[in-house]
Amino acid sequence: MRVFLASAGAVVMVMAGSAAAVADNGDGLEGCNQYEICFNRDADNYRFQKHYYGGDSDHANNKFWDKVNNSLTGSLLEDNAYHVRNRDGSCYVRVTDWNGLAPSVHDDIPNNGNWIRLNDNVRNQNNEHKRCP
Amino acid sequence: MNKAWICTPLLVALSACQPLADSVGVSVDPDAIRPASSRLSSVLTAAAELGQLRGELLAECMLGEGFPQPAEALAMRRSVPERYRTTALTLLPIDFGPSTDVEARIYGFGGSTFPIDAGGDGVVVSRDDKFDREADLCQARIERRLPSLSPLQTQAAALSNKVRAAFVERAYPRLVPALLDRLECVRRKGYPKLAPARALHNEDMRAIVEMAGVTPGTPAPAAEPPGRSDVPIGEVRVFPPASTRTYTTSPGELKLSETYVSCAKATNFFDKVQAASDDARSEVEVFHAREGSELADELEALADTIVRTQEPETERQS
Repeated sequence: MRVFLASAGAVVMVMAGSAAAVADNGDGLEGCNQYEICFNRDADNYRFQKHYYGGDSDHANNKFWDKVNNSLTGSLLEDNAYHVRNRDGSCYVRVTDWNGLAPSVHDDIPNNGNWIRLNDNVRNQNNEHKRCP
Repeated sequence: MNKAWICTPLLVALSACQPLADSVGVSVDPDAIRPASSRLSSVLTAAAELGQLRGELLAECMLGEGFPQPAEALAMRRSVPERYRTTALTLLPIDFGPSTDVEARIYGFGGSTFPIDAGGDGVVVSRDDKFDREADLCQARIERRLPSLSPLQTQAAALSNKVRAAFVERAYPRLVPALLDRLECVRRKGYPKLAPARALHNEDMRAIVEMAGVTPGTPAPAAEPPGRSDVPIGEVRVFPPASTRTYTTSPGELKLSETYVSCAKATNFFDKVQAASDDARSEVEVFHAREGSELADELEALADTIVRTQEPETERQS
């Protein structure tokens, strides 16, 4: 796990965004749609998700969306994801756990649209995801 | 044909996106998934192209239905320089912090993961139901035409992830003495607070800088990826791939990073990384040879199928 403190600039940027953008960098309320990269929190249900279009080099402070109550939770994505569904058009997604001076470990998620369980070494250890590794 | 747009976040804010040129093309290249050799690393490199292949098939289908945006996203691909491209069976010099004086200056310790994160294809964001429906139909067409593609993608990624974990598990213990030598060299060169063994167990690069008694620099905020709310309802837009995130090194972190780079040279660190990587790679390649060989056969078979199913279309067009 790697921690960066949010700078004042980042705080201002988040506050200026729309509610949907803060809640979800994907589409906010609906399912995991074409071109989205979707993270799911729990092993046994798909209620708490976080969607993106594109990569994100810092999962810190990103929170899961409650699809049942349509509300942002306090539950952090970083180090808490169980499944990933990659609906990107052309890119695999690489979920990485940075380890300081030790080599990073990562899971590559194919863009075939299936929910895929993260491997033990990355599950609940994610720091970021990138497209087209 | 739907008009394609290219948008930067600033242009979105100003509602002034640029229409793209009309001439958009896609070429589907099945040969990209044929392994150059039977070596596991070569097979995994070829298998990694399956994502791009699906993207080309999807873009070709969408283009045929009047939606050029997926093709435009492919055309925007920005590759990561080779020295920052991590594969399942490689360790990069920058995986262990700054490895050159230039990296020391630009990334220090705290930004040393940033160059690895940049690049990729353009990002398609749709708020157009017609586009979304057509993309679903195109994906379904791809599945019907190539039923082995999706399972092969899952299988190949699972093997690649397993191989990566095994490679790191074998390489890292061999590298620990070399890392400790490098850090001990730094400690002796003016950083007595740096405890090499403790530094190795710290997962936060900037905390290692602090441990050395130095104030770390500042990372630029992670760029907010584009979101659905950035695009008007009924439109589809294409955003450029991620740029390299920037980092401002503090004077102290710069000096520490330069010392760390010079200590890598003084302790032959990169030769040791190379040797440990080569040994671990050889062992993993032997251990997973059969799975690699089976995957290679399946990749060849898929490429053959694509070539066969392409021919009638080519003949019809001519």
